[in-house]
Amino acid sequence: MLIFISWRNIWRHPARSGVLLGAIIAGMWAGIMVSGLTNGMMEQRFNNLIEESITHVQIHHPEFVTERDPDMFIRKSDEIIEFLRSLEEVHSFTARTLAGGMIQSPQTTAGVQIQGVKVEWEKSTTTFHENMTRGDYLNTDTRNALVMGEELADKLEMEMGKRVVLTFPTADGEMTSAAFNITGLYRSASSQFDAQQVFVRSSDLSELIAGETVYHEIAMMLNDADSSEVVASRINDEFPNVKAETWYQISPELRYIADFGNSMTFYVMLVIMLALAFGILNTMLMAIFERMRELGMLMAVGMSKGRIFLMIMFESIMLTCSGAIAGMLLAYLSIQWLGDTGIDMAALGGESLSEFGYDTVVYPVITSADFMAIAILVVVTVLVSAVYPSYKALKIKPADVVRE
Amino acid sequence: MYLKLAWRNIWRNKRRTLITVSSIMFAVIFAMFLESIERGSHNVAIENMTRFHTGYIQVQDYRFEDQPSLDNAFLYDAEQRNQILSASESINYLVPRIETFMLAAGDDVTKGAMVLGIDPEKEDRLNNLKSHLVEGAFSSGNQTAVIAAGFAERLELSRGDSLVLLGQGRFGRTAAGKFEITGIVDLPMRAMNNQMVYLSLENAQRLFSADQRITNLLVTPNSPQQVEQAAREIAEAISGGDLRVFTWQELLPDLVEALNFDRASTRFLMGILYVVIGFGIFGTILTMTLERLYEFGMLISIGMHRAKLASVVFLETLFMAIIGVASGYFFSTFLLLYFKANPIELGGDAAEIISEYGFDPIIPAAIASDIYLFQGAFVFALSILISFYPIMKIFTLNTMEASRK
Repeated sequence: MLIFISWRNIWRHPARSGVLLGAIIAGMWAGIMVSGLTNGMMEQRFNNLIEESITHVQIHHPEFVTERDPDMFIRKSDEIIEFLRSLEEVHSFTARTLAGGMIQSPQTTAGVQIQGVKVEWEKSTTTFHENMTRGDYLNTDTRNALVMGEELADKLEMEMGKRVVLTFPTADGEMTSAAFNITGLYRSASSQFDAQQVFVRSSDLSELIAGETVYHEIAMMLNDADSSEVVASRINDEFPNVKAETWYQISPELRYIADFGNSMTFYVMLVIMLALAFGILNTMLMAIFERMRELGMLMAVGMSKGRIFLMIMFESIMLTCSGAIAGMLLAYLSIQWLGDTGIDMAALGGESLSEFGYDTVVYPVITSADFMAIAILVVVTVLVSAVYPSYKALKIKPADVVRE
Repeated sequence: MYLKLAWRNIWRNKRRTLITVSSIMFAVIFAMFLESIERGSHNVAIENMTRFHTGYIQVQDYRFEDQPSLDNAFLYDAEQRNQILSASESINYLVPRIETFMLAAGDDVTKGAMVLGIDPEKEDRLNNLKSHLVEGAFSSGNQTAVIAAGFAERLELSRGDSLVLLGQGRFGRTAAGKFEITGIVDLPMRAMNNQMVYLSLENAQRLFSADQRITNLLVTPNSPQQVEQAAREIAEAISGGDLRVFTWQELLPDLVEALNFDRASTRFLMGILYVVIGFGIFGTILTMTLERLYEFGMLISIGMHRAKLASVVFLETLFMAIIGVASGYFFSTFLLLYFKANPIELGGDAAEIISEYGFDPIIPAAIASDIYLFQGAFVFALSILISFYPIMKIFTLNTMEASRK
């Protein structure tokens, strides 16, 4: 009965109900969009870093990461490689020979990290080769081929086909130097990376370091990023002489992106929910004052205060539910649409970003768990902000308002 | 006349006005808060990066940017120093550096090292370098060095041991020297901690055969707002020579890009917030209009021109918008001051990682006049736009229906 009255009340004032409905829909849409956008941005940066070089799981000599000693290569790497081939979670993997050293051109000297890669393995595992701007990704017959960032090439005043000298320690602790030919240039999203990392063939580098084929790092992409930890611990159980780590342990930068993004999203969401709550509160309050006479009349003819409170709350609940459903539908459609076309940040003032290799188009992503969590958050926010106006309605003195 | 009428109307129903004004006020507060923490997080990032890396302004030889070699170190004598110092009133102090990459050998191990010739006092003023000393001290003595803790570990060196540096000095001359380690600093950034060697400026210049020369001069302005001005004035004073002035935007293009990207996404979030805020204000104004339809209908039927009534209602909204924005300014100033003094603290791994870098894991609110100006103006414009609803309603109102209530 009361619900019926509430239902009729809503339709008696279509404009007022409409604007409340609009506010709830907007709030729901806003909450889900914010979450989808920030998720999408984080996922994008994540995938860039993971797919380009970090990968899901990496294996090293247990102390290599801190010491970076060339002698700390992975012992019995053949067995590990066999084992990885047998794991069905592993999509693909690659092995790298690493060294820290100096690069010399006739003009100047700079410190560099040298990565010796197995070209075919690397190409099937990471997307780094897509960053090549000149030449081929070490895919040549040239002896001692080397690929460097354009940034570094500028610094060294070097170009394609020129020779540079790399100096680095060997596994015996001696220093060795060798001439390398620049066969390609790349440009990644980070100019700092470009100025510090050079790539050579793993076979060339490990010959110089140890006189045989050695790898300091085995990196793998999995079919599902969530199985990173399981795979890492299986490798650690199987091979106690190496250490497998997930991207989460390897890259503080990725952890930073994840956590910083989360806390910023929290504050943005907080502000939006507060804005929504006050919008609803003010509109409802105004509506109650407008309905003073009507409510006073109901009281005067004998409707109890409790029932009036309930009646108004029923109205709010019905409005909220329909608003929430419409808002979720709208947000779902927006996300579906934007998830395909993307949001071009360049249009919002990030024009110069693409020059730096940033992907300016962000594709919002939302998980169903987030979707539901936000839906509940919005509904609770709206209902809580409806309580005060309904309570205010109880304070009406029928004698005063009816006389107006 | 209209003004008076509108003013009276506002105060005739205080409750109604209060609600409308407060919805505008909250809109201003929320919009300002969101922009302020975004700006604050940027300011923190800029300050941290400039303090630990590049400084706000750097003076270099114009060839050094493309070719960071000792060959492109520039003469930094008393005359040059005075010329730069007197160029601008905004300069607080100067930090000279000479840097190059060398091989460093301990007893058994040899590694690459970043060798930096510094003035420890000035460096300390810039980034509290001395507070990172875990052992010993910076010494002004001949052939002494301070090395980073990670580097010391890798080379198995400790205080009192000697360190051999080997590399290329200016114009290809051999640079080699033996140094006594007088101190160890534990630097927050791992990459630096694993390869830094500090020499005094004089020792480094002697080692590199670069008498009185430096590769970079960091200029710290009195405040971050004076960066542009100071850079311009220095550039004017040293124009014509081989020197060039760089601001942090030129030195840290990656940071600038990251911030731009962040700004673009914040703009999008702002847009979403405006939708919510807009509905909030629209809701109150619409409900207010409905409530007053009887009054409007009555006024029109007793002969008030619709246009006149509309101007009165418009003036009312104008007043309320002004009061709303002004009170929004008032309260958000308190809110921002509070969050500036008690910055938001980040939690979880992000905090840990930022601390590892030697930064504080906080986001203080930023207070800047353009935030006030832009957000105030925007919410004001939004309110005025929304006020067209009651005006439209007045022109289309059916008086018979409205006054029958």
